[in-house]
Amino acid sequence: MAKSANIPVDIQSMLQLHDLTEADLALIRKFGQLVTPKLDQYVEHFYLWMENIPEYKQFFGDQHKLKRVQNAQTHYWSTFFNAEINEGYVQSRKEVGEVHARVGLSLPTYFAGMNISMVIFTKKLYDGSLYSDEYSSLVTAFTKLLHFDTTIVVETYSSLINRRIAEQSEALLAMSTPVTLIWQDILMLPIVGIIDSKRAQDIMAAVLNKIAESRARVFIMDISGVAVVDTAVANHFIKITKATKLMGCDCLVSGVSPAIAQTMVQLGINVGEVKTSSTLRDALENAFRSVGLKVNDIQ
Amino acid sequence: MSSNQIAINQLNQVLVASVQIDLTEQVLEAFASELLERLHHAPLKGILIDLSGIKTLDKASFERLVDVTKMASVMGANTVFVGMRPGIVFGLIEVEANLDGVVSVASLEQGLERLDND
Repeated sequence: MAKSANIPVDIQSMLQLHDLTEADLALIRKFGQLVTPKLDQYVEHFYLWMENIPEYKQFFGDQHKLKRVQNAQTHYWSTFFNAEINEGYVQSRKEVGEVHARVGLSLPTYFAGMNISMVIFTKKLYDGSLYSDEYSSLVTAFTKLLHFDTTIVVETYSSLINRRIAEQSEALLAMSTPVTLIWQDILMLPIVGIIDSKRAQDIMAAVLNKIAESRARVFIMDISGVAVVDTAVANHFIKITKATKLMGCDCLVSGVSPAIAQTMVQLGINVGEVKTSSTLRDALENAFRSVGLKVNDIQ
Repeated sequence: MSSNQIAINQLNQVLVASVQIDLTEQVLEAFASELLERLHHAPLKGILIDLSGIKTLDKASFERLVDVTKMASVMGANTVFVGMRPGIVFGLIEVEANLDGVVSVASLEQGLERLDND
């Protein structure tokens, strides 16, 4: 019990969650004395199995890498059989999860690997020197600690993957509202894809901030890339144009296709005072005129 | 009658009101009476209401402010709002404030230009 006093509370509660007792750990240590000298054999057995996995070539194409991974694996199992559950132990399992997430090793392969490792240790390398009672409680203890490890690995793995997804959607959002100052006082935003209320809000926020920052006087919104315009989408557009107007910025809507024009009229959408045009060219000309510029041929 | 807390300055033929405090009922009332009083005394081309100094504006206050500008418009002076912050605009659009007849620009300079053109 003196030993467990040094273990941080969160790790203790995790041990409890997996029903891992000091007796289990002691049993694993005892078994470890039997198999730790045979770790080289384990590595052999493991890679015999591993060679049949399709992912094998992808990950272990070069020899150095293979050697490094094998060393890491030997180290992993020797700490496993030491069964000293402390911060360092948990940290090293977290690192395993991080590495797997980074290289993109799939969880099914990882689970299969852990499973086969357990079989190798408890069947192939086991010399039959334990009493059958002791052996069966060892297998239980082994399974518990193995699950303890995989829990940490999977948790780290999935939180990393989730973080990556969050980063990607953020990047996607930034890409989806490229409000650009195309000329002094003229902002332009091509809208591509589907407009829902979340995206409309993001667009509005991006546009308003850009107007405040650049002090633009004309804003061109090109909707030629918008797949579907229904009442809801049109309302979003109208809101955006109203907002830009409040910011002191004229809004021009370009890229109104025949299909969009038809649906807008059929649905009885009142575009109000918003200037719309079918091509970006018209809108740009309009914008130049309202900021007092003229485009001429070079003579 | 409480005194008006919104500074009103005259620039040539234009009144410039600079709002620096939250628009409560009393503030708006005092502002309206002083503004209309000054319009009554001298013929003016228009009014600029500078909102760049405030960070929050609710729907009721905004619509009340628009009412004041309509009163001024009946007396022959057009109003242009100046320098609304993105946050305020976003909020007003979200609560679907009535924006009919509201003219808004980004800077005082643009506001003066706008009044000249009317």
